[in-house]
Amino acid sequence: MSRTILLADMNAFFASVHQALDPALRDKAVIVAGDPAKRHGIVLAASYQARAEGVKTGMTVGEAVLTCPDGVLIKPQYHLYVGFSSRILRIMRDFTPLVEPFSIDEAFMDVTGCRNLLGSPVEIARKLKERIRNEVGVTCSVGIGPNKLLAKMAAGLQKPDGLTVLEEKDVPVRLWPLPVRKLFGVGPRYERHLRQFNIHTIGDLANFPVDVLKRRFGVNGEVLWLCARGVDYSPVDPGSLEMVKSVGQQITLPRDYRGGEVKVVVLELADQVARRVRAGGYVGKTVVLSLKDADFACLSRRRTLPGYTALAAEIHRAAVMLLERHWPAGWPVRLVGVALANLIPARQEQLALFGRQEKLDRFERGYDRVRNRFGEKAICRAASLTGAGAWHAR
Amino acid sequence: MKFSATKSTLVYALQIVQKAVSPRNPVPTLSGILFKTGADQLTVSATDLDLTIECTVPVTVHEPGNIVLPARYITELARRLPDVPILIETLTAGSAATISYGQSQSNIHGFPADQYPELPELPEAPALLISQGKLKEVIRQVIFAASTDETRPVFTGALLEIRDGALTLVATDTHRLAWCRLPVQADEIISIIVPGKTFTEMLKITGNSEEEDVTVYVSQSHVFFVTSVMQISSRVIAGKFPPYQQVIPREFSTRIKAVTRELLEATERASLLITEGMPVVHFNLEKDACVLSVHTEAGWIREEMDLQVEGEPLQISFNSRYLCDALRAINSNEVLINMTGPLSAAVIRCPENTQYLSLLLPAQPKPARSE
Repeated sequence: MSRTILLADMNAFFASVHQALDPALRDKAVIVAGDPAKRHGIVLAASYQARAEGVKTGMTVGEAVLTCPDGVLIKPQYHLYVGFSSRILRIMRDFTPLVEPFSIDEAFMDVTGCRNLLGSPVEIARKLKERIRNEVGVTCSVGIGPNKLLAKMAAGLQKPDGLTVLEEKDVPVRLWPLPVRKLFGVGPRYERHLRQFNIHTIGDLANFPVDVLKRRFGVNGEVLWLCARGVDYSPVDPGSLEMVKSVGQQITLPRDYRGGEVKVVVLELADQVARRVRAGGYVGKTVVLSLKDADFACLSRRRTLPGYTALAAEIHRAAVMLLERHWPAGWPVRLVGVALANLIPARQEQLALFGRQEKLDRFERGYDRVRNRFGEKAICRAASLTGAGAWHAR
Repeated sequence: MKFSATKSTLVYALQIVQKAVSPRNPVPTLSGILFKTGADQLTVSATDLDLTIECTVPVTVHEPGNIVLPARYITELARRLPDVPILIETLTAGSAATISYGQSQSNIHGFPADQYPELPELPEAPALLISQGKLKEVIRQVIFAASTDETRPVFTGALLEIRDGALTLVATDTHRLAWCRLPVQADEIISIIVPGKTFTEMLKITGNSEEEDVTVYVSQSHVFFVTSVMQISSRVIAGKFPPYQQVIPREFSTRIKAVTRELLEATERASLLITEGMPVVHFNLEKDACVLSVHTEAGWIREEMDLQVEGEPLQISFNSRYLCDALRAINSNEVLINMTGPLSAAVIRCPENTQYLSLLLPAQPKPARSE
């Protein structure tokens, strides 16, 4: 039996949340951006009114203000978005338990089994949109397709407030004329590689010999080719987001940092990452360090540890080693990111000799307990009190 | 420089020193092999500044001299040469060598020998004389426990200690530890940390002969292992080795005796089902009964083993990779494992040899979520 999958994609989600909460903002150009008072910050979301003026996601605050002087700048308030997102998911789960959150503002639903119960897919989509608009106050675009890929592509065809059905037979007509970049899974890099094969549209890709793609891009070449033909076997998995894959924390620095100062920031970030990893009950194996210099040239390096850890000291040590090995000493740093990836649930811990690991473990758990009881700022590392500490500014 | 040698002599010497060549070093001469000819012998050397390998073979020297030739070309060429007498000569004082074989010739550009870094100098007095086969066996028995984590250099090496008429080797990555002792005749007291890499290369290139001896020399910053044909020298790791004696338990509450191969095979089978995370296998030990089990999303496996269990019943978990490493290193048909509770180190040893043991720390099951 063919499946029926829905994808609901909230329109300009962060901006819509603020518009839903404050009726005065409804017709305004709302721009959600990193702290407008400080110079670091980019546009995270813009309402459709702001988009009409030319504001785009990813612009700096300064550019956005120049483009749209009447825009209302709002600092992001993540707890609101998370709250709205879970309310929307709850509504979706009223229709079917087969709901897979895909990001904070998108989720898939498998309504194959609800057709006799709730009506045709289009009726279900209408009801869903209506409930989200009435009960939460935001609009969404819904795509309907026989698989997740086509549902996702369909939702992208009509924004805002759209409702689009894509069937397999529509693929040549509706998808193939689109630029290949619009295909799910094709980013700027793939676009460049595909251009070398004279593949410009999704149709070009769908009609390209698959063995050539397989030879050039491996398994992913075949997956992309299948996507271009509208084929996708992946199931709607309600548990896909339950397992965290990595925990990361990054900060844009207010000025250029160099040498030892960077290590202080790395330690502070390692502390926060380790705390979140422990709070989730995970341990991880791969430490990722990301850095940007004053020209925003990026560098990201990873190191896999010999064993799993949730200790800031271990994360810090690996990150500092990456820093020393891959970043010229004395070169200015403007952004530092530390992440722990390759996470698994901490079901068992490998014990160690000589007591060092035990000591660190006790120390960091004590550190956690103080913060649990008296708040995040109740205690800090002495290094954070030096001029290099970025912790107080947070 | 001018000398002639057989193909096999040349290939043998080059293959031995090749392990120490550092092909991508910023110092260009380090990607080369140093050729030195003296009284009817050729010494080839390679170094990455930490590890240096030299090999001396008999050749017919027509004119002494020296040169550095790029390892990449000379080793590959030597392997493909026909089996005829080979004549190698440097043309002028320059930095190229001509290799003549039969009616053919090849010329390879290299570097003058004076550009090659100075190699560590052999101290006068040897510290120890030991049979090559015996030394290799103790190295093999402990080196698996060394760490590969370069952020803590001390653990990437093995402690080599000579005192009280015994040679002791210890390696640990903090999760396991291997210790081996061998009675030797030596007066000096020595305690150094030898890089794990040096020992693993040594295992590969030295022979197993019991008759052949290795002479060990120790200087301030280097250790030297010298045989009749080769000299392996290595920088020692600076730092203090952890106090390993303190962590070896002396009293036990549960003891098992097993056939090494059976336990190893059962552990290997059980760990097959573990595809992610730490490969932990659980042991349930009761009076003369041992059940080894693994439960994962892929399925489960339960192995009941016939072995001697004495003392208190115990449930304990180990990282199967560590356990297998230890069982492979033990070199004995039977294995004794002594334990004191689910959170303390297990001591693994063989019944016939009291001079070897390895420690293995268990894995501790944790509640599903921390506080």
